[in-house]
Amino acid sequence: MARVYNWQIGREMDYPYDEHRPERQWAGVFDINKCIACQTCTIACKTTWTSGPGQEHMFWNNVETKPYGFFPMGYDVRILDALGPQDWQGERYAGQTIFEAAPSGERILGWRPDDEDYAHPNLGEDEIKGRIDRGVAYAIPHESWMYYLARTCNHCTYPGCLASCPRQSIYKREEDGIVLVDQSRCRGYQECVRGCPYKKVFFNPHSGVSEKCIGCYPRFETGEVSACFAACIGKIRLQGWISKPDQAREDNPIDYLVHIRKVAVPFMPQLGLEPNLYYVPPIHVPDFFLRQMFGPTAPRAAETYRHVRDDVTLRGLFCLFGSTDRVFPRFRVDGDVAMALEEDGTEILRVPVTEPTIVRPETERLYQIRRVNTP
Amino acid sequence: MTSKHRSAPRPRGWVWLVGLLAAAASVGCGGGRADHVIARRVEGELPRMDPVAAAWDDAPEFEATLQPQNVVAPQLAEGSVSRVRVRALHDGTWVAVRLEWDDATDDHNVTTSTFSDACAVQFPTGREVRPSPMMGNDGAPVDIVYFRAAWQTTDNMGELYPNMPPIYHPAEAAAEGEPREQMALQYQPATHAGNPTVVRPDGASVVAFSAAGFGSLSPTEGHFAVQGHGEYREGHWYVVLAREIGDASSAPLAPGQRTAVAVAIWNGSHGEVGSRKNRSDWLDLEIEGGGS
Ligand code: SF4
Ligand code: SF4
Repeated sequence: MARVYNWQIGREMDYPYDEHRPERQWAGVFDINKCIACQTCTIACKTTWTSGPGQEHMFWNNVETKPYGFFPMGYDVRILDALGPQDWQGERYAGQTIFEAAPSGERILGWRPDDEDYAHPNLGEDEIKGRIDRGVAYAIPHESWMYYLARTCNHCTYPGCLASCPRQSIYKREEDGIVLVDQSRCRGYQECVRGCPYKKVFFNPHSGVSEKCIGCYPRFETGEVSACFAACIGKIRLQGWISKPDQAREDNPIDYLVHIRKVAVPFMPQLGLEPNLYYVPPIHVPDFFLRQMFGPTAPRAAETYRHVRDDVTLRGLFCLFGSTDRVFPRFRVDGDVAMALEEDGTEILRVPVTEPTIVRPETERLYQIRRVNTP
Repeated sequence: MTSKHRSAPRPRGWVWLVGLLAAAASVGCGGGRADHVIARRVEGELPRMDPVAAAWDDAPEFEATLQPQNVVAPQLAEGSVSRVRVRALHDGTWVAVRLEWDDATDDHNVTTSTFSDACAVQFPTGREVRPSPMMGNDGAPVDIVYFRAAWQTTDNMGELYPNMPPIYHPAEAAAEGEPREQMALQYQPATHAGNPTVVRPDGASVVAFSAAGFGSLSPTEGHFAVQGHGEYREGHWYVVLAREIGDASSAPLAPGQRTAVAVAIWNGSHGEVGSRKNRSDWLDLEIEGGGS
């Protein structure tokens, strides 16, 4: 095992291969507070990539309801349970990652779901954490809560899937960090299905080969965001490039959210994969749950988000979420205008940070109709 | 043995002699047991696709012991098949190995929960150096003939999911040629890439690979032809794995040669796949000479 640095756990860790970061790293930020579980992203992905035989059960993008929704069944609680206590000392993870906790004779601590575990992709939809007694619904913060968690492959810096494959059939692209299963090399051993704690590699029983999210690389190569990002109705998603923390740039939208303002946090960082999807945590969920799911900095991220209204740059950047199909490597907020920029500073588009308020009369004179109060 | 048997009078000396002679005869002219694998020469047709053909009765049987692969991760912690009965035949151009082992379940489908039963035989590629028994090593590659039960299942999906409604697959609906190719690239990438796990000549259940160490298994690009077939009968697998001998002047498998063969068995329902397998060491293999 090599020693590699994982900034998300604030320390070095064991990994089967040396540290090697790609030239640029694919990344995304999801604002959980805005997701409505419409599943448009899920369907965008399904129709684009997984409409073939043997792919019926696959959702490279899925949206589940937390805390009781999973896809596949129990994927997160099973690995958290297997890993045992996960202690943090401040922002340094003091427990074991799934590489460090690998049982003897294994490359990783993993488990393989049953076929049945994929059969109910949206079980637990809209289930809340507990029952609602009379009047409790009016109390803030809510005693009972739920939230939607949209997920794709994280195109991890230290992929568990890649680490578990005994044939080196999985590789991480140098140009964008996208993690792919080589479709001619894979022999369907499913070690990757076992090894990915997010269960984002799927076995195709028709071809006998494993398949996973390809980060829509044909789109990404032309500067367009992935299909699930483009389709997002709630405009909760922002796609781009993430730098290492010591190379973070103020004008890189992902860096700004993750490294500079620390309002977006990784999912289960303690597992050690350095996943590259970052979540603005839900502000109505108790801290203990946020910490378990998104690490020790999640409550602080939620706190920052609570005040986003008073934060000109942050607010401006959130207005750019879902505003364009182009990947924009830079942004600028100028007064009441937020701009998405190309690398060379060319403007892709601009949006108002404060939507203008227009008051219209209750009765439309021309048609002699009354307006209803629908925005 | 019951005490009744034990107290029975000892057979006379001549009875033993007859027994010994009979045993020797059975090894000498077919069948019986041997202390290494002997590929007997057949004059008629070599049963390359029939693991239960009568011809196999003429080949002596060697029982090999298997051990779980517990050297390289991921390992098989506990083996599930500890013995395999090996017979071999050849006709001067092809050599065929028949494996027989006990397995309580016929696993011939693969899902996320289950793997397929499978087996393989491996041969050294040169006459001098004996490669590592664990898939060869750098500079000493091995030839592998691999059988997967799932590859003989004609309607894998139908068997697995009998209640699945008909589903529209754009790739299948697309017109032949370019449009279908494009669809396959998008929705059936392994097929499009010609992965032998899904695309095999004539849908064969046996594939030829070569390897030079763990994780290096790759198709042989047709440098030797293979054939084979498996049958599961009442708790036993019978599988024939046949390959071309190749150029008789250089091939280690040419008639009259003594070389080696190694065996691997995977028990699908025991989660065995890839490097999680039951494997043998090199077994001595004698390719009987003589004949035309
Ligand atoms: S999320 Fe899973 S499939 Fe994706 S790169 Fe990470 S380990 Fe691999
Ligand atoms: S499309 Fe956007 S809002 Fe709808 S479920 Fe997906 S992530 Fe959530």
